[in-house]
Amino acid sequence: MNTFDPYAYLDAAAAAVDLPVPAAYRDGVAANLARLHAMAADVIDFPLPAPADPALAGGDDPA
Amino acid sequence: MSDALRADASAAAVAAAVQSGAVSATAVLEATLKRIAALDPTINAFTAVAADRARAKAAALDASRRAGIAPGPLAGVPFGVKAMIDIAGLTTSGGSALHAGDPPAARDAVVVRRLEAAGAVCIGALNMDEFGMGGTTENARFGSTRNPHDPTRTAGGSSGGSAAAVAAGILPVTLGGDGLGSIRLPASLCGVYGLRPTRGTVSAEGLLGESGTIGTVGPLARSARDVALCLDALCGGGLAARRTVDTLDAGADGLRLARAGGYFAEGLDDDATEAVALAAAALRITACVDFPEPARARAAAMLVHTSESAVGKLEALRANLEGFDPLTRERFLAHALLPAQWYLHAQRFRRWHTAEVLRLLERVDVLLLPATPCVAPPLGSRTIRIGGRDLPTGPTLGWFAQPLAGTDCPALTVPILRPGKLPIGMQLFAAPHREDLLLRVRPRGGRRPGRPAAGPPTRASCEPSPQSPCYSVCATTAAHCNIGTVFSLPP
Repeated sequence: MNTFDPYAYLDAAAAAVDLPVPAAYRDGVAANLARLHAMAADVIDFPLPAPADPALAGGDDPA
Repeated sequence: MSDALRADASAAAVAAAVQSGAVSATAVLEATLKRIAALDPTINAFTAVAADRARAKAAALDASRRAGIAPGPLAGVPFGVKAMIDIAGLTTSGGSALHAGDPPAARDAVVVRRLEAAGAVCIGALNMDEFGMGGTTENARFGSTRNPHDPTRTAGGSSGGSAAAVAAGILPVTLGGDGLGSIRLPASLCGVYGLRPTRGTVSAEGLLGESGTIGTVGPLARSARDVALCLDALCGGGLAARRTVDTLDAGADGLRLARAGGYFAEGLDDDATEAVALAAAALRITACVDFPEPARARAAAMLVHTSESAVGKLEALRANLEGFDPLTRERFLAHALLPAQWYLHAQRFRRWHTAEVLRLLERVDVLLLPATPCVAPPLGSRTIRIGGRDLPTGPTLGWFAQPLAGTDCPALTVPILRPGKLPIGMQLFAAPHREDLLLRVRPRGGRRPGRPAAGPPTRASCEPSPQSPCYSVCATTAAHCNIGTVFSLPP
C-alpha cells in the first residue's frame, strides 16, 4: 500500500471501467485517489478479529 | 398578527393554532410565502417554490377542518425538503444541472407524503451541494446558500438550504439528508437542531439516485419538540411507530451522560472549545469516555459513502462530464474508480466498529461530542485555520460528524448560542432507536424547548428582514424564539 501511484492507478482503473479522464482533471482526480488510498490503508491495516463479513445495510444476504 | 404567523412560530405553535381554528392553514402559508419573497433573495435557501401546490393543500386542510375533520399533529405547518427528495410536480434536481431537463416527479417521496398526512404543507425544494457531495452548499447551478447569521458565511452542507431556511425563520421545519454529516454539520453552523435518525427508520423511497448504506433523511427545526413532532410523523406506523414527543418532558434526570475525549477533544478552535465546555457544564457532565477508533471509523465511512456515491453516475461521467458541478466533478471521477477491496474492507471494519460502539452505549445513555470544529467559515474558503494549521474546508468541517456515520445510530445537533458570537452546535449520540433520549437532554433546571422563556420578549426585534435575515442573533430574541435555549448563556 505504501507504493501507491495514483496516476498509474487512475489510468488502469479508468481503462477498466471505460471512463476517460480528461487531462485537465487528472491532477484533481489523482489527489482524491491519493487521499482515499491513505484512508483505505489505515482501515485495511487495522487488525480485525476474524471472521467479519461486510456489514451491508438491510442485513446480510445469505445468497 | 397571530403568533402562529410570525417568523419565530414553532411548528407546534402553528399546528395548535390551525387545529383550534385561531388561524387558517392558508394564512400561515401566505405569511410563509411573503417571508420567502423577502428573505430568500439574500439567503438563497430554495431551488424551487411550489406555491400553487401548497395553496391547494392548505385550502384542502382548511376545508377539512371546517368539516370537523381533525387536521393532524402538524396541521398547517409549512416545510421544505432537500432538493434530492421527490415533490410531485417538480423536477428533482439533486442540486445538479444534469437533471435540469428531467420530467417532474410523478409522486411525492414517502417522507413528503408522511409529513403531509400529518397535516404539514410542502412548499418547495431546498438547496444543497451537488448530489450531496460537499459541506458548504456552494452550487454552480443554484448559487450558494448564505448563512442567516452572517450572509458572507457558508450555511454548511450538504443540506445547507434546509438549515438556512429554518435559521432565517422562513420555515419552522425542513427535511435534509445526512450521509457523512449533511444534516448535523449545517445545523451546527446555522444554530438549529438537526437530527440524523437511526438509519432504516425513515423511508428512502422517492430519493434521487441510490440511497446507499450510510445516508438517511431527517428533520431540522428550531426546537427539540418540533424535531420530535417531525420524527414521529416521518416514522409513521409499523415497526417504527412512536410518540417521541410524549417523552420530551421526562428530561435528562437519571440518564448516564458522558463526553467523548481523545480525538473529539482535539482539533477544535476557540469557539468550539468554548461550546463544548459550556454544554458539558450546563449538563453537569463529568464522565469522559473514548469513542472507539474514531479516525478509522471516519475513514471507513468516507470510503463506503464515496464508493456508493458514484453508483449510477458512470454514464453521466462518460457522456456529460462538463455537466457536473466544478466542485464535484473530479471527486465523482475518483469515486467511480475506487477498487472494491477498499469498499469491502471499509464495510468489514464498519461492522466491527458498530459492535464496539454498541458496547460503549451499554454504559452511556447519551454521548456529547462537538459537531463542527469551528463556526461557519466565509463562503468560498478553500481552507480553514485550526490550531495554527490551514486545513481543507469540507473534510475538516466534517471531522466530528463523520466518525459516527457508519454506525446507524441516531445523532442530534443541538445549537449553542453565545451572545454576540456566531452559533455552533454540539452532537448528542445514542443507541439505535433512542432518539427519545437525545431529545430529552437539557440542563437540569434549564428552560425547556417549546416553552417561551420568562421575561419580556423583544418581539419587534424578532422579525427578520433582508438586512438582518436571522432573528436568532441576540440572546433575548433567541430566548423568546426558543432557538438554542438549551445551552444559551445569559445575556
